Amino acid sequence: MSTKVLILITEDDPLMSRMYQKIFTFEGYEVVMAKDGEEGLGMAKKEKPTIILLDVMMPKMNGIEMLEKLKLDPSTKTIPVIMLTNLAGEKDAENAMAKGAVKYIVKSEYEPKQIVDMVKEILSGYTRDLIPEAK
Amino acid sequence: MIFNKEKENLITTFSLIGFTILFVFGVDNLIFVKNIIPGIIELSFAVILYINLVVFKFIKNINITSRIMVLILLFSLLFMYVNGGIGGKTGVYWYFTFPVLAFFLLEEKIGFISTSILISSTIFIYLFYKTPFSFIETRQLITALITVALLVRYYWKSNFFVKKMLIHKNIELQNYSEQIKENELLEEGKKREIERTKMAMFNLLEDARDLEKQLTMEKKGVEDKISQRTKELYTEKAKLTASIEALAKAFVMVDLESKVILVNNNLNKIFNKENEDWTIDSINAAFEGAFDFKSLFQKALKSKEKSEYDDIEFGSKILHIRFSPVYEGEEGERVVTGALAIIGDVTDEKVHERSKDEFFSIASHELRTPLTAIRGNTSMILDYYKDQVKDPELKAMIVDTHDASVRLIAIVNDFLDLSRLEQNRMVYKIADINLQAVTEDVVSQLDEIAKNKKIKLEFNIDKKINVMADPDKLKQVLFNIVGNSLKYTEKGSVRVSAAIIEGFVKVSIEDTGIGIPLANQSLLFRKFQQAGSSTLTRDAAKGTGLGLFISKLIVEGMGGKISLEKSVIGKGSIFTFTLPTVKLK
Repeated sequence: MSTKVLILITEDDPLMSRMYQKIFTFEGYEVVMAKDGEEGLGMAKKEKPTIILLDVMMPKMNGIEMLEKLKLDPSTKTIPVIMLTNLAGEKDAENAMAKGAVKYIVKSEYEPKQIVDMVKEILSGYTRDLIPEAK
Repeated sequence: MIFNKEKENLITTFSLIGFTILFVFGVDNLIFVKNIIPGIIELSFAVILYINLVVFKFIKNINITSRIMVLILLFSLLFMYVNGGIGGKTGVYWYFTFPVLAFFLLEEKIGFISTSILISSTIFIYLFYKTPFSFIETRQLITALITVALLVRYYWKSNFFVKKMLIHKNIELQNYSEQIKENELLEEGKKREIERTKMAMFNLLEDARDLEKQLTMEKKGVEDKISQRTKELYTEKAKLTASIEALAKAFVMVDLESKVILVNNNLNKIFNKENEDWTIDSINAAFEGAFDFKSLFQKALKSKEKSEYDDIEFGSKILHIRFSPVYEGEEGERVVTGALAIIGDVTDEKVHERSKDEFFSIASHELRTPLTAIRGNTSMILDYYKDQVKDPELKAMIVDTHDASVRLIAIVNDFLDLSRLEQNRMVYKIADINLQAVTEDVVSQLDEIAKNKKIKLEFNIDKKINVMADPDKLKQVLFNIVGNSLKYTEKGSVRVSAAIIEGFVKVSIEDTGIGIPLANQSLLFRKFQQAGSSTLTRDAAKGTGLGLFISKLIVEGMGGKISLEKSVIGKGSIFTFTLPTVKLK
């Protein structure tokens, strides 16, 4: 494992952020957290994460706006973004996909472990050597 | 006729008198005077006259009898002249009766001829034959004969002409009177005709008056009708105008030349204008580039088809525009005379719709988040803290908590789906998809459950079968039905198969489960129904009972049908649903 995978989780709800922070940490990823879109955007620019898990409904700046901004900034636009939300509306999913997200995941439909698997799968499509080994 | 009657009378009278006199004279000559020859001659005459009378009575032909008489008399007179008469020279006096008779009894000509013969014969006898009569006597005889003859002739002639004239006049009179009568009749007829004509004229006049009256009435009727129609038209127009004005939407009608002929006030409202005199160009300009009104309107006018444009953002407004051709005339021969545009300000509706959407989204989002935390955390405890959770009771409690959260999430999802389906807000992304691939995906997801229950879960679907459906929704339906079958089957198998029937694919899910009682079969696809359960005996482990109802709405939403094909208690059930193989309009 040459480089550590850095995951940026942008999630306002502490219940969710704690849970995903835990599982990704358990799974051997390096995790940075942001509690709203603004903070997330700043972190993304500063930390240059490998992948971003992005909630949609957040204060200050919502996930879609943040996604748009990420895609406008050349320094962040290549970072794959997975929308991770409990909004199950199809329009939301379509909208996010249209704006450059690589996947739209409804949190409640999956166990945390399944989400990790999905992230792994997506990362493998980008750089095979970035998959960390589980503890 | 008159003549004949007179002749008849005369001949009878003459014959009768002649017979009587000659008979008396003859008998007198034969018996008393002893003058035999004259007596015989006179008797012979009497007999001839008698015969003539009798013959005349029978034959009734005046001409024949009178000619015979004249002839006999002629010769007997000449005989008398030769012999010197009967009983001395007196017999020749009979001469004078001759012309009377001849002229009376015969036609004028015959009378004249026979008299001439008598005279010339007498002269001849006097000159060349012997006669006892002297020249003087003969001359007197002839003169007397001629005189009598002329007398008789002229008397007769004048009489005849008078009579003839009278008769003629009579006839004329008769004719005249007939003519008069005729004329009278004619006149009567004419009079009647005139009367009739008069009546007719009168009637005509009456008719004309009636006609005029009728015309006046009709005219009035027509006028009334027209005014009524006009009134109706005004009413209709008023209604129409009121309707158009009452429309919550802007209304624009154009003719074939795209000239604006009717708008309502809402058009002003939409563009925040007042009393604008709208043209198609000014409307187009008012859109400020937000919508290509003019060309799309003209396109609708040209194509004669309805068209609709949704979600047009114009400033802070959201508009919905519908174009529609305007037809005139009877069904079958309708002609497009223009087009109309209805511009709806649907901002509020859209906002409302969005807020409703938002409500459901947020509600489900807010419910899901804590549930996801429960689900995720419990599963993480079980995954990553196995060592700490050694107590089986504790472990079971954590598993239950996890399962409860999963079930709750499913319920939330069901409610969200249901609210969308019932409000027709479910969006179907219909595509041509491979049935086998979708089925395989669903079966693989449910495989674990089947394995746990030791039930054979298999599918047999031709790889070539494609359906027109929303893949996610189709998965949801398959997941529901196959999941149900697995739930209610304890041993045996669940099979998924498909067949193409008349443009539809029929998907069958057959299980060897507990079966559904007949009484509950009709309730299957209803809301909150679990076959065989009342509110109090609900099978808590089996979910909300919304699954089949949601599946039904989804299948119908994609143009298919869902049904329970067969179910036998203790043997199993077959559920089927259909989906179109070609895109439905």
